[in-house]
Amino acid sequence: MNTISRTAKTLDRICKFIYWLMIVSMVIVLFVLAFLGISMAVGAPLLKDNESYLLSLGNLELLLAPGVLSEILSDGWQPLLLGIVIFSIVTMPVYFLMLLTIRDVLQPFINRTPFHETVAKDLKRLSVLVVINTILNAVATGLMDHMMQNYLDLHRLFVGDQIFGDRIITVGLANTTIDLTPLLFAGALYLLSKVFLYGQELQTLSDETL
Amino acid sequence: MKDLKRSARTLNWILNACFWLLIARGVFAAGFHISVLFKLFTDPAALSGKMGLTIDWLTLDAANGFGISQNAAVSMKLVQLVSAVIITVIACQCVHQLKHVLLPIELGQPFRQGIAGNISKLAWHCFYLGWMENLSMLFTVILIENHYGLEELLMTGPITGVSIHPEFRPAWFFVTAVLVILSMVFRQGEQLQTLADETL
Repeated sequence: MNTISRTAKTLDRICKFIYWLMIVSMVIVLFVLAFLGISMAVGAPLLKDNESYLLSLGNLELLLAPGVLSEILSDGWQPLLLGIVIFSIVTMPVYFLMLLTIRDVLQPFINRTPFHETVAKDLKRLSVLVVINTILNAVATGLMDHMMQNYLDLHRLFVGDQIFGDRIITVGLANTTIDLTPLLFAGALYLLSKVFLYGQELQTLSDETL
Repeated sequence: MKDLKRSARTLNWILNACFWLLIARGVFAAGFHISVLFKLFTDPAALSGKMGLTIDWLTLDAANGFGISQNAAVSMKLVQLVSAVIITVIACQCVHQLKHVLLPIELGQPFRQGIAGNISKLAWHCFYLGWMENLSMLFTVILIENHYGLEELLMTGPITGVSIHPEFRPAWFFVTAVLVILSMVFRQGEQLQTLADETL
């Protein structure tokens, strides 16, 4: 029983750390949103021509020469970026709720009563939150993909296709895929909530017997 | 209990589909990598032919090769082949183990003896999957960095710097930790079930 409590405590600490990390990123996103909003309201250019920008493409990072980013971005990308930032703000509360629910589930484990009446309800709520989060993430990925495909002219970064001596290399954007594995986890969590409900009944029976 | 059995059965069907999809994907990927390896060994001129490389968002299609050595191309394909095979095997074992966990639940005995052990085994498989996912990415990134000459390839006028670094993906390690704690809870459930069986 001590091991359950100890492991749950460690997991709770990790969740707490992620929670604070998310609060910091939320604040940063809010600042970005405020900056974007103010810049768009006063009609100021969002990108400075004399600054270099880092284009992050997953594992790969490209440092762009000054003024290049505004050249390869098509007109009308600002509202889309704003949409993505707003979307991140919408998804953040879901992540917060998920983390809080996980911590709620862990609390009875820490107190050495894993078959507490709240656990089944919390697990059910967590499964619903995972489904919502998967849908929101899919929409966010779609938006990001739309922006990358339609508003970012990557081919202009390379001088035609001839970029390495006599070698002809065409650079393009890969298709993004939407990960549906979390839905499987949501199903497993729902099932687990039912198992915990049964465990709760057994616990009550055991308490009444002893 | 009826709802529990039904949910377990539905999840079992989904897992069955996942299992066969995983196998199909693994066989397809392994077959593709083996065919390229075979071509590289039998016809080194293939290195100057049409080749492709995908790095996350970016795809590089070379009409007449990337200018890499045969050893580098073979190493890259071997890493891709080995990781595709190992990841498929571990993922299939994970699904198989999860089905073992679901079986007693489907029969209406979620805390039957041995279920905690099965969850513990599942945790180990997820742990290996986490390692394999991260290691395969690390090796791929190292090979790309050392042999493909990305800087010469991509550092044209508008791009003044190129860097590639592997991302650490902790998701499977988190799942492992959750499964470890669940196996302990299920062990307690097993004890409660034994007590209930003895009482009734």
